[in-house]
Amino acid sequence: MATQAKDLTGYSVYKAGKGPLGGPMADREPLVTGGKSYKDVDDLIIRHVESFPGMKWWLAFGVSLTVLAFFLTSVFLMFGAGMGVQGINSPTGWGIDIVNFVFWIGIGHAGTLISAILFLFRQKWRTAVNRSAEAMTIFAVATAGLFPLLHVGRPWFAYWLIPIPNGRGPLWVNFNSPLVWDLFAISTYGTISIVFWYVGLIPDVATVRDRADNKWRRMLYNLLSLGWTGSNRAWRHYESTYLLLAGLATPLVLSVHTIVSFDFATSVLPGWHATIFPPYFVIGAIFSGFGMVVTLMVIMRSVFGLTDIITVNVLESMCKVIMLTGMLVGFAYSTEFFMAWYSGSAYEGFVFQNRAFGPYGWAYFIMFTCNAFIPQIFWFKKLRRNIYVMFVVSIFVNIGMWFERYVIIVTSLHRDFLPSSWGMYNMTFIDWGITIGSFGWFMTLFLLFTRALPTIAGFEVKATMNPDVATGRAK
Amino acid sequence: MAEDKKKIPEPGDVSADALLDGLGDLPADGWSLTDGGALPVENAEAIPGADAPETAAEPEAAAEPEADEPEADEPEATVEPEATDEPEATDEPEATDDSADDDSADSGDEDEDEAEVAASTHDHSHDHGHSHSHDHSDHGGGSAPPPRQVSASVSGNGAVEGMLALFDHPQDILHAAEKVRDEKFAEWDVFTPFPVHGMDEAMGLSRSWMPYVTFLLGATGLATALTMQFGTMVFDWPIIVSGKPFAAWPSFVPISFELTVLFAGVGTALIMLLTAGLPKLKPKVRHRRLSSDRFGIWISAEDSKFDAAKTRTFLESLHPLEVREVRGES
Repeated sequence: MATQAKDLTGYSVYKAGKGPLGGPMADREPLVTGGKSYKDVDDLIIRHVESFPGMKWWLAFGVSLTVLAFFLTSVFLMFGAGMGVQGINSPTGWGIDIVNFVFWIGIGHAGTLISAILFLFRQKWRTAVNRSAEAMTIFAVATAGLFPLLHVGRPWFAYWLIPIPNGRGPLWVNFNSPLVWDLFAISTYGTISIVFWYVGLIPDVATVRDRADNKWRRMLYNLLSLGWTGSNRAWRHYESTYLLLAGLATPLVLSVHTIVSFDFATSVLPGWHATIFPPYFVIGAIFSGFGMVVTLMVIMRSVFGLTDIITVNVLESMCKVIMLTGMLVGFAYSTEFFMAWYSGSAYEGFVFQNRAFGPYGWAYFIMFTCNAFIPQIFWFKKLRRNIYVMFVVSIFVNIGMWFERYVIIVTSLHRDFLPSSWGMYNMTFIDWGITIGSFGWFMTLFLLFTRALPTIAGFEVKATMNPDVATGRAK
Repeated sequence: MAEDKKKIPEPGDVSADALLDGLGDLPADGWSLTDGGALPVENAEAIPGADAPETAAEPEAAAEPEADEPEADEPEATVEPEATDEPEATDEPEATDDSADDDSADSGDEDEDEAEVAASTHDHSHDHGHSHSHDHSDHGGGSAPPPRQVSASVSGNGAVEGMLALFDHPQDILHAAEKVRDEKFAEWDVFTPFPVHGMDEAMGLSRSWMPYVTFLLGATGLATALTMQFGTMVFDWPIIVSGKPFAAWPSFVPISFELTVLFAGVGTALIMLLTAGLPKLKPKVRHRRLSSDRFGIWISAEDSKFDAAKTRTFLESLHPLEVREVRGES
């Protein structure tokens, strides 16, 4: 039967007497609703590549470009005037650049998680969102990658981080430094994400090519698809490679934010020097990444009319992940407090008291509420299947996770061991420009992606469909 | 774009070299039997996995993008005057057909199926209203679906390059591929819009050897990382950092891991693409719908067992929608 999108319940369908031994049989609800044929799926997901973008797209693109201009202005002002225009000072030497770096890298974790880990776990609903989530990952990593360059203050020397033969001895980079690990982790993650994304795109780009009537269009997409034909002799290696890439990307996802957390955990600063940091950061990254995916998918499915593929069931699954990881970050926050007390270290204890009840207590309050409490409303099925509720919650998650990084960095730095060196951190206009502006950069890239490439992995969606429905044989 | 249009014999699904790239145009009626062509009951039984007549005219053209379609319809209108029919006129008979089939077909099917038919035809009419689609008119209005014959066609006028049989259901092509395999053809291939589970076995292909490639590349990456880190930190210019030993291997673990993954991932993807014969911008077999909703078996004339007449008969015995002899350009 052609289940319509509005009929989805989120429960399996039980059919009495259909089981192998005469008992009931439970069928999962279809991933694609509306009784779509294979070609309908193509039409749906390629339509926005083939037609001139509508008003909504242009409006969003205009806003994104404006915000991007704000970003570029702030960056050029900063490089023109020097790092002094940022709010960083002594003792708070890591400011908004590192906050945004960790925030965006975290956002970038959902894409590969959905593509790789959920692929290994055979969660077929991932096919509805994996392409967009991977694109989101790449653009988030591209955004995050800008911030270390801004942070070093003299980005024209950033290549010093790379271990290349040089005229200084050669003097090599210090491989004991987490900052060098970071360079390798982020660049590997970015590269593998692009490879994974592109490999997944090839068959769908070939579909776009085969539908094209225009010669130039066909040529362009033929180049992009490398002339893919769908030969099974190619699919054989393709599928094996996809599985291998998923297997490689799974530990990679976990390693990236682990290594980012080493930037903090290998220092001796109270509030940073904690063994819980790697899992805590990874869970937080997955949490924030899913938050961003839900934000984008809720918008995208309505703008491009993809409600039959990105169904409420898919969004509900993501909300469940958000709820679980939200609980886990809440648990990590509590564990930090427990360890601060249990360690018996006066400095640890003070840092956490100061974090929750000091001058930045408001930020801690925002963080704890948005991350640990608000997503718990997803315990109610009605709420986690409500598009508006999940959109609002996902925004709260984004805000909360930005503040988590703010809290970790600023509260640990601004009051360390010696009260004589205490200070406060205030964001300047430039800091706000860079922070808000980075969303413009991210959204501009994402909107261009939705214009140029299929936003849903069409061939993977087709492979999950019931072939009898898709070919019209199930009467 | 304009000159491109001229070459299009039939809008939408069939056009220009899209059919068989570089192998000449196809007769304009090339798709008339296959586009949503209904499946007669006797054929349906012969095809495993097809337990029922195909409901005519799935919304093939449903939700066509607005771009280009209206102009493309015009040549069609001359061929099929009733192309602009009222949507209801074409759809309602279908609905009755389907429900009639439902009654006669095996009773073990889910009771929701009738609802599905209604729903899909509803969809259908909706889409008609929007896009005035073109390829339903030939079979939508009739009372009974025409019996399906295997459509035979020839494209190109040069030497025979091979034979292409087209299917529309993954199960059909899976079973057809098994038969081709059992005939011991060597130069043949299966084209599918998505990977069909079990096709490697059906084609008699062994397991992909990609994992070995990945392993070797990963080992290369690991060796590179270790050489780089120990080489620079221990041998080339040892420097004491925070009192750590020169060969501080635990701090080399992260980069060793990252480079292992980097080499293995990027290298595997590149080698996979090369193994798959990419990039190859002018492939021999290309059909506009093989990346969308058609499944094709291709037997090349280079195969020693290939014989134009016999191979055609053999392919026709697999119950495809169509068998097409592909000729090169003379």
